[in-house]
Amino acid sequence: MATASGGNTIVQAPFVIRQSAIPEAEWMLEAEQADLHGLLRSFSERSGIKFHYAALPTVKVDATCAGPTVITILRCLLGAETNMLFHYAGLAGNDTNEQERQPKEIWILASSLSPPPIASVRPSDCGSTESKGISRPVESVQNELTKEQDVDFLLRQADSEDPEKRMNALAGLARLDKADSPEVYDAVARSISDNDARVRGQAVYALSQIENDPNALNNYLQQALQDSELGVRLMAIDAIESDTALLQQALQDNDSSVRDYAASKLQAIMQH
Amino acid sequence: MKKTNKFIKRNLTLAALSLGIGMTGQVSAHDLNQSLIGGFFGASATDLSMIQCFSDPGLGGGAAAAKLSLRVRKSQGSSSFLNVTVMKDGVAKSTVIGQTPNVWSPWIQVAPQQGNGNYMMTVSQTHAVNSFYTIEYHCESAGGAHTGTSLVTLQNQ
Repeated sequence: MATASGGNTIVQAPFVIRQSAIPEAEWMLEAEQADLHGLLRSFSERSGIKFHYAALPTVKVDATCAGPTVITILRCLLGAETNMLFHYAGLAGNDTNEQERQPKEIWILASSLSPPPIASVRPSDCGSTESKGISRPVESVQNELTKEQDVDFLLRQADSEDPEKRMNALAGLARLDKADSPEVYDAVARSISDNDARVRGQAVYALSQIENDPNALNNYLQQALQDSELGVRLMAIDAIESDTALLQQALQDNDSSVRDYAASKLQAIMQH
Repeated sequence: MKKTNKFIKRNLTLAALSLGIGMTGQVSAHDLNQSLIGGFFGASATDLSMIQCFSDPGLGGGAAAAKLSLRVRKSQGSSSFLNVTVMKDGVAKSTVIGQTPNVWSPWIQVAPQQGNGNYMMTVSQTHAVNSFYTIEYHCESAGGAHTGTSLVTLQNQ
């Protein structure tokens, strides 16, 4: 029987396992054509819970799972009907919710794992299977840019003398789920005053992605709506989703394309 | 707009529309209103988004998506042609619209082997001008019911 236990090994695989502060989504897993065994091994390492299982389907897994506990993720990944046994340690009482959060070991009964639907198996690739792990979307996009060294690269690029590089760096920083990183936030925020208009435009977009404080974002967008460059003002309107006051402000712009774009967004808001 | 730890920029919005593709009664649709600022970023300006299709217990009985349906129109006229391409798992479809505003393109449907998952969508144009567009999109099950749909913007130019 194969056992995966906690350790310091980092497994390179086409999947990402994250923990977050989002309620009911403290655990997030996203996998694309990932080996199930490798995925479970890494999940075990990350969670500190020993997984025990015998034979697993030799399939590639596509899954997007989010939930409050490791068990929730496993049920999403393996199927709600999968039978599992749990070993809890140091718990008293019969509080099911508490127990579900603190298993020390989990046995996955492979006999209960669902076989892949026959219709989804491509004749030329018997290692594929229908994705059965997607229950709801992960609320952040994970890619190689989440590696710390790539974030450092983007931060250096954001200070480049080449405005093209600064612009591309901001586009990259906007994609990262790094709203709580002061370095990322500072790099983006100071770019709103860059001497290159395209950089300012991308800074507006990046701020719309990472700024957690609606009042602060409102201030940045107001500043951008006053920019001398038409493109920056248009990027500001792009970033406005439901703030009708800002859109009303944009209706006073001296450029007809800004006024018309703001009007169309207002109309769309009113229709929904 | 506040984002906190959430990367999804566009909320799911519902509108009662008649799609004219064999569906009757009220349907749900999602739309994206965005600009492509070619006058700023050049003719190579490209918007890139990822549309996620997933099984939602509250939609279509939790059925898996079989395809993504999408159409586009300009909200303002511009001298450029606008191209929208959607791809997943080696399956790609495109549509091009001309200069006239408020004229919808035909629906395009991308139906890969696995309907659930991430579809990449690019929007580009032929000229270095500013274009403003609306994209209406939704994921559908094999039976035509709407399934879970969300969109994440990856690049905005």
